[in-house]
Amino acid sequence: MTESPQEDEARATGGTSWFVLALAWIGVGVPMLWGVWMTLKKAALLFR
Amino acid sequence: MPGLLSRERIIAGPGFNRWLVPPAALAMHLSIGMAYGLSVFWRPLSQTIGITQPAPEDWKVSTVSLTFSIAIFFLGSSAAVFGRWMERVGPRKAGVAAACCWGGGFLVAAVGARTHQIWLIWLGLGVIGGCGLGLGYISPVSTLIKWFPDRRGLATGMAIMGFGGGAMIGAPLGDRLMRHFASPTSVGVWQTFVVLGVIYFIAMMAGAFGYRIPRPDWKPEGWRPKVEARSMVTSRNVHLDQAWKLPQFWALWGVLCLNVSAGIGVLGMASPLIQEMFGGKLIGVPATLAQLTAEQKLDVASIAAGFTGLLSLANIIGRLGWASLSDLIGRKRTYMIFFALGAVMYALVPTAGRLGLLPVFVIIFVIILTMYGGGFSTIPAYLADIFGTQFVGAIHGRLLTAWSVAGLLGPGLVNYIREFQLDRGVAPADAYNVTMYVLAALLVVGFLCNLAVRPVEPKYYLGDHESGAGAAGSMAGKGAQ
Repeated sequence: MTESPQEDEARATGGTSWFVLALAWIGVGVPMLWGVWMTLKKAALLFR
Repeated sequence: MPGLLSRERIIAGPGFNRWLVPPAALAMHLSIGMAYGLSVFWRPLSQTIGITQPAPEDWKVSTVSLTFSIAIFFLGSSAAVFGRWMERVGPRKAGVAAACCWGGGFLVAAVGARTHQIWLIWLGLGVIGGCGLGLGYISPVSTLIKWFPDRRGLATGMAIMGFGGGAMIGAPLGDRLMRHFASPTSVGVWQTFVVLGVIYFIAMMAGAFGYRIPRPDWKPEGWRPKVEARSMVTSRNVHLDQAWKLPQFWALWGVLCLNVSAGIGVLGMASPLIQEMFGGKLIGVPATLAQLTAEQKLDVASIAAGFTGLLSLANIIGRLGWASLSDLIGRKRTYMIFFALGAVMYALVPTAGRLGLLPVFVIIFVIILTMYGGGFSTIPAYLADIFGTQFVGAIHGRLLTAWSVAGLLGPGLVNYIREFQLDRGVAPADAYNVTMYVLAALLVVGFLCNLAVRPVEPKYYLGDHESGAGAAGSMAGKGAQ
């Protein structure tokens, strides 16, 4: 049975490894944590 | 074969993990969130000729900072205009367009800074960049809502939190890059624009290519919509052309506009506000701001910068926290809390200032700013509850015109009332009191707008054969989780 190109494509984009998931979250998480740290350092002056 | 950027190309296949979509959305929103951090460039841009101090030919800070207003105006306008297109072509194409506009906008602005042509800065970061902001802002929202029907607030909160957090990364990064590129003949701005433009282009392209949409009939495993129990949540859809003509749309427009007006008004004035209200008390000196020495004023300004940073954090935390809470208590109740609690908080500010209660003052503003952020991130889920998910991206785009209006209304009100008070001879420490009561009144009006939000009458919903026609194709694989 022949599958449509869309079905092929859907199959190709499916399946997510935990490695990819972790990598994606680290990719956005690390810059965010750096930004939070920089902001907290600045905000600490308020409580000196 | 569908094109690389087409909607059909990104329908998720079997085994796709929906938790991969929020980081893609965050990559987009963290990049465009730098819009809030552009102010780090205004002073250096006002010294591109004089280098160490402004020369007569240099631009004024007010001239370059106009870029931000242009960008916000084009954010709202482009979201409204291109929302329908985005729903048709899918989020990836919209995300790629956003990356080209925002990254390219920085490059155009770099040419403007290098050749000292202000119109190129306005065109690059204001007009082209502003369109990138609008497209980038709405591109993941509809997708996230479709992937997380069980946690719409959490999903949109995660993405929109990125918009609030973008400046936290971009502003210190921009500052460091300018220091790196600074030389006796350059303030280092145009080089910084080039580097940031490239970084943001790559990050946003990564985000756009990370977008996946579920097939129309996909639902999280074991999840059943609870439409009977919560009449404010529909499982049907209202067409974009119909939605914006309904009173519910305009009530929600008012909800967003008034919530944002109040928050953006104080956010823009946070630094002078705390300095003028508390003056020397911030550094343990019993004196007003005007009575302090130049050195003491610098210390006070540093503390005020810390206060502004804290408010940015509150804004971000609120975006995630309140939107997630709205999944549990409902959107309408969440906005009831924003408006009722917000009005009380604003009304308490003058008393906290008069009594010199700095910790109370700080706590009040932290709470206010969490609700400001929460207002942004909860509204897409509110729209999806009322109008359905099919056109929510485009409807959200049109609703963002409320942000453009609020961007003028809020700061305008705060500045105008402050100036008016000062002209009448009111002491600077008391010049914000009336403003706070006016902002509290705005929130009372917002409360009434929210009360007016009712479920849409059934006659306005699309029929079953129309609903889903414009949604993702029906050829997706099965079993996405």
